[in-house]
Formats: sequence, C-alpha cells, structure tokens
Amino acid sequence: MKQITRALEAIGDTIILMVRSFGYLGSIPRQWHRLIEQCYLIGYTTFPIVSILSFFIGSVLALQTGYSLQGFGAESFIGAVVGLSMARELGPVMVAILVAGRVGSAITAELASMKVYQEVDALKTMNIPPERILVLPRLLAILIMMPVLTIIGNVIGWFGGAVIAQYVPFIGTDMDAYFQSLRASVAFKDIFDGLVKAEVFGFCVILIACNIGLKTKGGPREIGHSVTRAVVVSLILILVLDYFVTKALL
Amino acid sequence: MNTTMQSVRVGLFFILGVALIWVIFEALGNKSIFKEPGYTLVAAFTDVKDLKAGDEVRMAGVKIGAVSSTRLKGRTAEVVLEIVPHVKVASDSVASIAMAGLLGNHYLSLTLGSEEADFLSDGGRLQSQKTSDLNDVLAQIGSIGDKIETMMEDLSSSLGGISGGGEGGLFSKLDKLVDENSENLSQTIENLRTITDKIATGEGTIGKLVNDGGAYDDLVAAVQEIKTAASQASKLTDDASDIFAQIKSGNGALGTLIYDDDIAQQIQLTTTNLRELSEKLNSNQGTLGKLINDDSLYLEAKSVIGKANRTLDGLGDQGPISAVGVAAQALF
Amino acid sequence: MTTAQQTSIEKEPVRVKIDNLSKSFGEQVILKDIDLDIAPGEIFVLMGPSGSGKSVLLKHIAGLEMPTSGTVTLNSAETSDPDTFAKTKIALVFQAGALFNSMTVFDNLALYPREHRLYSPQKIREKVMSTLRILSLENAANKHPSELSGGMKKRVAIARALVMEPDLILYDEPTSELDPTMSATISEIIACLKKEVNVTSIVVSHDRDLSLTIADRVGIIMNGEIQAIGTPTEIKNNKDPLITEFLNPKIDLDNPRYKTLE
Repeated sequence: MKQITRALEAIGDTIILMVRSFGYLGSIPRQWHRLIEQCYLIGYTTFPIVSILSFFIGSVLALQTGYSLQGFGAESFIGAVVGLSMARELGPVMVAILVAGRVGSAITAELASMKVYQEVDALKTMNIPPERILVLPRLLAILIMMPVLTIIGNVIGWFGGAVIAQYVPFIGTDMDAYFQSLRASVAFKDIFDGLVKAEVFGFCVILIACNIGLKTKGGPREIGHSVTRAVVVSLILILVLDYFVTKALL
Repeated sequence: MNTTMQSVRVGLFFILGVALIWVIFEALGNKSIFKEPGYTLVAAFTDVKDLKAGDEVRMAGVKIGAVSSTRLKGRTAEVVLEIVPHVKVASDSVASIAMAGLLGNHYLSLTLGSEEADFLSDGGRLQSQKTSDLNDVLAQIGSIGDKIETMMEDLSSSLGGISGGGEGGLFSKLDKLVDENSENLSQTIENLRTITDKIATGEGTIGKLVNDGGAYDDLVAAVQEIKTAASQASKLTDDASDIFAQIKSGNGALGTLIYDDDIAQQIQLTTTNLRELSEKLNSNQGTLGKLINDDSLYLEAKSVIGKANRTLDGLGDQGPISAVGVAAQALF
Repeated sequence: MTTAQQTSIEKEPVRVKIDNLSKSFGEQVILKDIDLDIAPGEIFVLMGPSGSGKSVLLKHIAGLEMPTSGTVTLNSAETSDPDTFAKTKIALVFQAGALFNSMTVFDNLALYPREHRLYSPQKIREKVMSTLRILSLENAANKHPSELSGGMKKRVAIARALVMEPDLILYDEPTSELDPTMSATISEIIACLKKEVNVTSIVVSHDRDLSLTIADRVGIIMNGEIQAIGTPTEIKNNKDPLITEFLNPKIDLDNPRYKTLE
C-alpha cells in the first residue's frame, strides 16, 4: 500500500515537474547558451559510445542471422533483418539505455548534489525556479538530440551488419545485395517510428532523472541512491514503454 | 570549453543528424509521408482479396504507384490507384490482383497494354481480370478430391453389384472355380507351408538368409544356377507371351477364361501342375527348389543387398537436403 | 558601497512578523509557538545552541520551509503565497555557502541580475567586480567554488547576497569557519549595510562577540522556544541561569563527567 502511494506520488511529481518546466518555455531564447550546453553534453559527448555500440549490435545481428539462415540459402535476408531490427527496435532502445546510463545518471547526480548542498534552495531564495534553468534546457536538449543520436546509431548499425555480411566467410553476401535487401524491406515509416520511440524514451529518461535528482533528501549517501534509482526506473520504463509505444505505432 | 566551439559542434552534429534522416528518406524511396501527387485510376473487381491501401501497383513488374483505397460500389469492389505522374497507362491495360509471396502480400498488377491504344487520364477505369490465387488452387484440389471420391463410390457399388448379382456375377464364377480346385489348392498350400517351415528352421538359402548368417557355400555354382534360372525364366516369359497371344486370339480375353468350360478344365490341370511344381520345389529339384532347399545363393544375395544399401545411403545423404534447399529457394 | 547607496533611496526595509509558528517533522517538534516582530532596518541576532531550531526558523522566513501552524509575514504578505518572494528580495547566506559548483565565482554572483535582467551585461560586470573587491575576492572571480577555501566560500556567499541588493538579508552562521580578522570584517559589513542600505538583517549565530556588538536586538532560542529577547545589554544582564551559562560557558578542566575517558 505504502509502495503504491509512493509510486503514484512519484508519477504525480514527475508530471508536475514536466508541466512546470514547459511553463517556462518562453525563457528559452534567454537560456540559449544553456540549451546549447546541454545539447553538447547530451548529444555530442554521447555520440562516440553510441557509434561503437551500434556498430557491434549491427554486426552481431548480421552474424546471428547469417549463422541461423545459412542452411536455408536465405543469406540475402540479412539486410532486411538488420535493417528492420535496428530501425524499429534496437536503435531506439539501445540509445535510450545509453542515455539513461550516461546522461540520466549524470543529471541525477548533479541535481541531487545541488539539492543536498542547498544550491537548489539558494536558487529558490533568488526567486529563480529550478525547473526553468535546470530542467527545461535538459528536456529540450534531449528532444533535439535523441533523433540525431538514433539515426546515427541506425546507420552505423547497418554498416556494422554490412561489414559482417561481406567479410565473414560463411555468410558471404556482398554489400550491394545486403543494402538491396535492406532497402527493399525498410520503409521510411520504420525509421520514423523508431525516431518517435527514441524521442519518447529519451524524454522520459531525462524527466525521471531530473525529478529523482531534485527530490533527493539527506546527505551525500542519498545522492548515490538517487542515481541508482533513476537508472533502474529509467531502464524499466524504457522496456515497458517500448511495448506500449510499439503497439500504439503499429 | 569555448562556448563558440560548443555551439559549432552542436550545430554540426545536429545538421549531420538531419542530413542522415534526409538521405535515408531519399534512399528508401517515396514510401509514405511526402507522396508525389499522381493521378488516380479505378479498377473494379468481384473480389479484391487482401488488397489494401498502401499496397503496390506494378506494371509488368515495375512499381508505378500504390493503392490509395478500396471501396464497395454496387455489386463490385473498386480499387482506387494512385499512379506516379510520369507513367502512362494504356486504355487496354488489364488489372489483376497478384500475390507477391507465399506469405500473402498482394499487389495490383497491370499489363502493358497495346502500343496503339490511348492512355488513360485521371479517374479513368481499368479493365480487370480475375486471377487465381492460392485459395482458388486449394479449392480446385478440393473439387478434384470430391471427384475421386464419387469415382471410388461408383467403383465399389459396381463391384458390389457383381458379387451380389446371381448366376452371371464375376465373383460367383470365381467361387465356383475355387470350389472345383479346392483339393489341389489345399495341397499346394500344404506344400507351401512345408517350404516356409523349412525357411523358418533355417534350411536352404532363403532359410539361411532369414535365420542365420553362417553358411558360405559354393558361391560360383549358385551364380551358375542363377544364370540357368535366368535363361529358363526368359523362356518362361516367352511361353507366357504365347499364352497371352492365345488368350487374345480366343473368345476374347478374360470372358473366355471364366465362362468357357474347356478353360476351366485347363485351369484344373494347371493347378494340378502347380501342386506338382510345389512338391518338386519341396524336394530340391530344379532351380527354384535349389533356391529354397539349398543355401549357396545366400552369400550372393547378401552382397547384392549390401550394395543396394550403400547406394541408398548415398542417395539419402544428398537427396533430401538438396530438396529442402530447392524448396527454400523457391519460398524466399 | 557607492552602488548600494544609489539604490538606498527607493528601498523599503522589510518588517518580519512571525505569529505562533510551530514546526514539526513527523513526531519531532522543532519549533514551538514562536512569536517575533522584527522592525524594518533592524539587525536581529538569533542565538542558541546547536540543534535549537535557529536555522529552521531562518528557512521559514526565506520560504524554504512551510510552518506546520502559524504564519510568517513579510511586509503584510504571507510566505505561503509564492508572490511574496517576487515582491520582496530576500538573500539567504547559507551556512555552507551553497555556491553553484558548476559556475565560476563571477557567474555565481552574476546569476541573479542576469536571470532577472536587472542591468545590462556591462553594468552587471561592474557591479559584480565591485562587490567582489569589497570582500577582497577579485582574484577569485574566475575560479570555481571547489578551488576555494571554506572561508573564501563564505565570503563569496555573502558577496552573492549583496549583489542581489536585497530588502532582507538572512545570515546563517556567517562567521563560523572564519578567522577572527575576517569575522570582524563580516561584522563590519553587516553593520555597515544597515547604515548605508537600510536593510533588515537577521543573523543566526552563536558567535557571542559578534552578536553583542552589532545587534540591535538579540533573541535566544533553546529547544525550539524563544527564551529571551532584548537589547544586547538586557541579554547580558539577564539572570536566567540557562542564558548566563550559554553566554559565559565555564571551562572546567577537571569535569568529573569525562573521567571515564581515561
């Protein structure tokens, strides 16, 4: 019972935080530098790890598909399998998980320590709402950066698959056939659906990270707890949301 | 970190993302979102099957547009197509619904039409043609099954008529034939039983073949015997063909055999001979008798069977796999 | 303090009125029926032992905590109404500084005027630098708070409060962690602000010398209750044994209580 109340409270707090933050949307031109800074931290610095992971996920997909299908002469399907699964599912989910682990945790840690060391209180006494300068730029930054990260992840993943398809002996499709099959089965709607999913995941991850950070009470130990909780909640939510968003987009 | 540098990097990064989305959008072709406005054509069918909005329209296999909607109009189902602007469709082009794969994706197929025909303009109506799909094929197979069933029923009822119908019935005649020769037959069976007993107790080649693998006798002689047997057999077949010729030249094939009293007597004679033959077989006379009572053929037979086995194994290794391969190729 | 003088004419110092304020966290009662009336422009020093609820009371005045019962009124506007803080500029000097760690000292000070768009960037720069000079911090302008010593952080926190040109300044232990010279400087600044800018100041402290020199009135709080209020002289002459013991603690080198430690 207590847990349910607490969960509902957390959901309510998160929604209130979102509404309040977007209430300050008008302040964005003045906060342009903060938006750019957050875009840089969320997007640009996450780019290398997204690239590396996407490449290997694409490769593994191609390898597994190639291995499973080699007896059936259906190696030409690899492009389709890698193309669709990266675009529709693995791209968005993987980027969201990386964002939760890399950006979400950092945001929670930063905001939680600001809360614990009374920086948030200081902002309040200065009559500067924390939602305006701490939450809103981050939410907008993730909305701008998430599609970019996801599309880069998709493309790099596709190339990872192509490299495997071409150079692993028992698969031995050439890149042309691979991309032919990919193009034949991936529609732009698949990419678009993937980007919508990524947007939803990214937004939720950052919102949760901000909320849990700002709700931290106590001392330095609680900062650690908050970070753990933010990451765990984000990961669960990504997978749960994945089901519902996918269903809604079908 | 210099703020200008930061802005520049974020800007470049963002442009890279947008550019990638654009490139992919272009590369994947105009499938949805921003469609080129084309012109519409209408084709009427009695059944549009699984065809739905968004399915491809192909002319001679080349994609030239998409189905924009399907609707009912009176007693027909109409398909509205959107054709890309630069493709002209001849007025005698025929539309049919085709299947893109075994898994049931349909598309609308247009024929090229004749060269001299006019082109259809916006809103024009296409001729259509009913095509068979997998369902129709299955339905046909079903009707073939029905036909076979009625055929079998006819056959069994006619056979019943023969057996049930009094004096002239085929089976009653056969009954009589068997009755008259029952003594001979029972003796023949008796002899056969002795033979099988011998086989069971491991006597002779066949007996050895069935019961034991120990005897390795007189291989060459046995092969010789087989040769003799083969030449005798060829004689026998010659005789048999003579007999058939005689039957043909007689009062008409089976009818004569069954209704003629002379023939009946001959059959009696034959069965008597058969009895003698079986007795002979039993007593180790003649080639077949040897086959039953002697075990010299055992080894030869065994090696032949061994060879046959190896051949079959070889077949087994390649046959089914390549068959699956072919099936898979056809499927995908 | 030339910049402060320019604005002193328009300034309306704040009258702080606390009625029947009680606060409890769950079962634990922190503050019991506090009544206080602090006049505009007054320097009020709140003294008391650790854990007596001084800082919590300060947070109530700043609007960071809401009372369980009772009210806090700033110039006839209650703190439960968020608009109060738009009308009244309050600066709170936190005990630990509460500086923004991600920003330089300069940006810490500039944040308030920038966010509220009080002046042109040029003017903001001048104001921030002059304030930093008052507290001899001009060399620290481009440093991050993590590079500063505890005493410097405290001075930056005070500087940040001064840049806001507040109507009410709340100091939470402004002189703890500071050497005697710097403590004296802080005391001078507090007293000077009253004279020059006509600002109401509430100082939470257990620094007896500071309190008794600069305060207009002193309140002594113990276990969440006000024990005594009065001018420094009145407090010094108070005969209550609890208060005299608190103000003049005797160091007994042979206290039998600690014999067991040996």
